[in-house]
Amino acid sequence: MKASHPPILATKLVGQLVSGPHGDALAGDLIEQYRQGRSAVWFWRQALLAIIVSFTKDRTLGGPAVLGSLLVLLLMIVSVGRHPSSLGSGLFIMDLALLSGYGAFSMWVWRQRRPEEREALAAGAQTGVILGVVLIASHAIEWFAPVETRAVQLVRGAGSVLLMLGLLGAAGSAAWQRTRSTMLAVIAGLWCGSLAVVSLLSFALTLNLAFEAHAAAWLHEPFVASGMGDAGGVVVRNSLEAASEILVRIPIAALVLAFSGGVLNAWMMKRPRRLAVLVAWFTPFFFVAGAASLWYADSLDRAARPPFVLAGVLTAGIALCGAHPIWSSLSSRRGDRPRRS
Amino acid sequence: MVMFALIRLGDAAYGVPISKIIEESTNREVLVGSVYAALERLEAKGFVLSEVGEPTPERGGRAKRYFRITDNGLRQVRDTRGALVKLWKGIPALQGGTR
Repeated sequence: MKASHPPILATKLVGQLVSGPHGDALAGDLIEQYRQGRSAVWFWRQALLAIIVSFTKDRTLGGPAVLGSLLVLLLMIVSVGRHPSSLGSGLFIMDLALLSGYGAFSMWVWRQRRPEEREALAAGAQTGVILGVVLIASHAIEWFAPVETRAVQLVRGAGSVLLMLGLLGAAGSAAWQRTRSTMLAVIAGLWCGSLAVVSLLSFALTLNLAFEAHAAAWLHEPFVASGMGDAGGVVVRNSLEAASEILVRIPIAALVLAFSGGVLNAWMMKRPRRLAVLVAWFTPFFFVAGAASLWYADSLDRAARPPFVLAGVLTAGIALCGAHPIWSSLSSRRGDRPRRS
Repeated sequence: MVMFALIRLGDAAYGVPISKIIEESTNREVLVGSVYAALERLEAKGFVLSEVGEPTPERGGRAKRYFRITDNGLRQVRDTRGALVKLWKGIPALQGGTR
């Protein structure tokens, strides 16, 4: 058996960068095998590959999200650097501050070791990836196929918002189901929203940089109205505005909806199965009523729309938010819920 | 493969012997990180349970993490074996050993 010390830096890297609950045990295993005769090269190879494996197979997606936040930050800095005329409204500073918060949250997720937290965050990550794809698809359609009929516009716009409501609710509900904790349900919802926002911003800012002329043509009217001399500056300012909006709004929506999803699941699980069946029958009607309200609002003048939009989003949102709790309540085993008295 | 290693090792199953068993049976170097990634997934599915042992000096003061297969995991292994045997029977080229 070797008496020498294993490579100190590699050991520290494994301890710090391997996510999940087994980082310490893994470092111990490598040290044990090194002392049984393995080489320093073997130790380094195992350490580096362990970090890569943990990064790519981490179910919470904490590591990739840290990189995503850095990428968004970099894209914003490059965009503003190319068009300094976009600065001046304080939006850039606000976006940087908000993104730092997202980065810190991602770092916190990456460092989580406790199984309950990781289970909830994995639920948030699964729904977050789906939500990110939905938001990116909606943005790509708007970008690459802008000529849309009223029906297509409504389905794309309202559809992505409603799916977002449903997925944020599902994140909270799924996390509650795995951990039985409302706090972790809310954290899962926030994580779901955070991943989706970072994915969307990475995509949208990359598009803006790669196809700047297309974006400038798209924003021709605002450019003329702004009185600015640089069309690219208007594009960047518009991106910064949109970014600050979603960086603030989605976490607020996530907080409310994930809490609702978690509480609904907890409530449904304590009720008899027949109530879940009854609610499952009524929920589609709620959704249709909400969708009809949105459809009707779209036919009205802009000033007359808000009450119908609000009612539509609320009604359809409640229905979608209840979808996962109802499904999990109906599919739960008999032993998990109270029997009929 | 990881679950077979756990069954073979019983109470002594932690990262080092699990990796060694897989290495011996496949004749290939095993990435300890991949073994732990698989164990974490199996644990999340309820097929495996883990507990922390005592820290030891030969591991730089780090504790071993012992793993054991659950009843659910054992059932899963049996089901997988049944499915593999059925598939194996349907392929004449695989009958009677190697050519």
